[in-house]
Amino acid sequence: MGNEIDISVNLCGIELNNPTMLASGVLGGTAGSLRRVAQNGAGALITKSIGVAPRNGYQGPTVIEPMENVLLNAMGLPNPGYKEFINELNDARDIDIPIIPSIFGSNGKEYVEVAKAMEKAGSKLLEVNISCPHPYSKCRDLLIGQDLDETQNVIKEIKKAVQIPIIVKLSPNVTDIAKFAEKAIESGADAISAINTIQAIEIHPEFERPILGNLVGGQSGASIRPIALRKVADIVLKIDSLKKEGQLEKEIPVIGVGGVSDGLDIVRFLLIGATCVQIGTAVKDNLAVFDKSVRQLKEYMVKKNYESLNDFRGNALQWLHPH
Amino acid sequence: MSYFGELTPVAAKIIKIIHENQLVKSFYLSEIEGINKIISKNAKPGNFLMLWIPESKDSEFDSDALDNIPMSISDCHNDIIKITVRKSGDTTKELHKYSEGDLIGIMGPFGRGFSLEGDNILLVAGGIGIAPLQFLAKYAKNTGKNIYLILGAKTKNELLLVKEMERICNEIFITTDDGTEGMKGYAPDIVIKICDLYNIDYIYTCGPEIMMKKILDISLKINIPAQFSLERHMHCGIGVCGFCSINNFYVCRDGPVFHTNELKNVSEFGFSFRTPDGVLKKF
Repeated sequence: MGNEIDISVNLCGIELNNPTMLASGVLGGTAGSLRRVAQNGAGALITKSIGVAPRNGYQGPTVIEPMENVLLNAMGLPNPGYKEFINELNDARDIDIPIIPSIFGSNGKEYVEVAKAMEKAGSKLLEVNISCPHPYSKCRDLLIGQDLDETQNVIKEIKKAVQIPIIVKLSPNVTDIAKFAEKAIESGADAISAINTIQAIEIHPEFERPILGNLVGGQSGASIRPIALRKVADIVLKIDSLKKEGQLEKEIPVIGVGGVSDGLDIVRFLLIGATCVQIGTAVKDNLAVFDKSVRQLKEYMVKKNYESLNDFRGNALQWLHPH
Repeated sequence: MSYFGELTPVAAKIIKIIHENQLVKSFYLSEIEGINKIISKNAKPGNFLMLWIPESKDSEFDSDALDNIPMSISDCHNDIIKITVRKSGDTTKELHKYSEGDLIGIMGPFGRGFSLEGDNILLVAGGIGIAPLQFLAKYAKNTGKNIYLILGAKTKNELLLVKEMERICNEIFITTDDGTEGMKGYAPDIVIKICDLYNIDYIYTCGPEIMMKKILDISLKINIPAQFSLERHMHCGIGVCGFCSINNFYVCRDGPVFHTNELKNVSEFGFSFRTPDGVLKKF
């Protein structure tokens, strides 16, 4: 049973043997850690976001769980810088699933520097994290990914500098995520992943102060899954309408991220049109969440008589198309 | 992995402070909020807490320097948690300014602790490494084990918890690097001799990693299994960020206690560690 089921995915020319990827920011900072996740059945690995120089990240607490299924984090992009990180990628060459570096910068020039280094090191696909502080904003919380012009600048500069395709990871902390998806695609994004964490804060009643070392952070975990589904639906519908209007010819895969913790969560994102999903926070309770979810996905497909993911991808969208 | 504890800091009151030596104080903590004292109720030898110092006692101090740090539990009895803290970084220095009655935040208990095996056990402690071993020793004593301890320190003034451990252990052997107390030399130097003399069938160790690497080599050579309590820089402590990795293991969730058969193939053990930015450095 299950042998005739095909759950492989082609993402920007890269073959994944299943539709789960490790989400950026979780367990993806060292070769040993990437290997460990690969052993647990992920289809691909997105690394921790890598910048131009080593960063220690924010003071703790960096990760807390104020209630069930709610994780708050403010890591502050700790990373060893791309020069050191390329050593990790070289150490990870024995891993037989795709490793996709996530990159960040404080401006276009920094993104380009990291992107070029990763391409030279042999990466076939990059994820661009645009949830980084806006370089010219006076408001300390404004991110590149919350400003349409800055989003466009960064993507255009990266696309000019490298040949390999890029996934752009969108922030949900905007009024209309579909506009940002459109801008990203127009600027050259080859795929979209959504969503990054949702802005959040937690206050300690006894100490009368925010708990996170950075004071504010982002929420992830199973609690954000319905929000992420909505955002992915908005993006998929936008892509469909761009195609219908003749403004877009190529396929733009959308990767669903946010609260995926089992096989039916993968199904949910695929039904809304996602090409594949990323799993992050769920590794906290179970590193084998990849194997488990893929098994459950196959069980669903057997029950429904589906042979490939295309047999049901997007099936729930008919309810959402404008009449 | 499932936790029986707190994943958000709960306030704990410092009910007693003991000055162990110039650099080390023990703090006795009582949870004053959270679910039914769940941290102390679930704390086992080898577990650790994430310790949060929410404010500075010093008005000129830059509170951005305060962090959330892993701290092993040195005892837990009647819902009172004991931690034994050496003044080293900004956070521990700040904690040393705290007084009885003050509140700090704690999360936990985290990690895989010691599993109690063997009948004649040898504990090998280097410096502050005695802290988690004290909790283990009390636990072992209650189950009727014969307990032997090698307590190593740089010098006499840095020896820790000698009187407490004398009450628990069958025998204590002290080593100091400079010979100011006990035998001059290092704790691992006398392990083989003591294993022979007392029919030791299990070794537990915590201390500088270079020392523990020597214990691993001895454990493999004389074929007596050992458990090791490791330390790595931790950002999250709960198995999400991955920065405490040592080869394919995570110290926070797979450890901090590891066994001889796990560590024998871990090339980074005793050789390299990662700084907070994830850069691999040699010891």
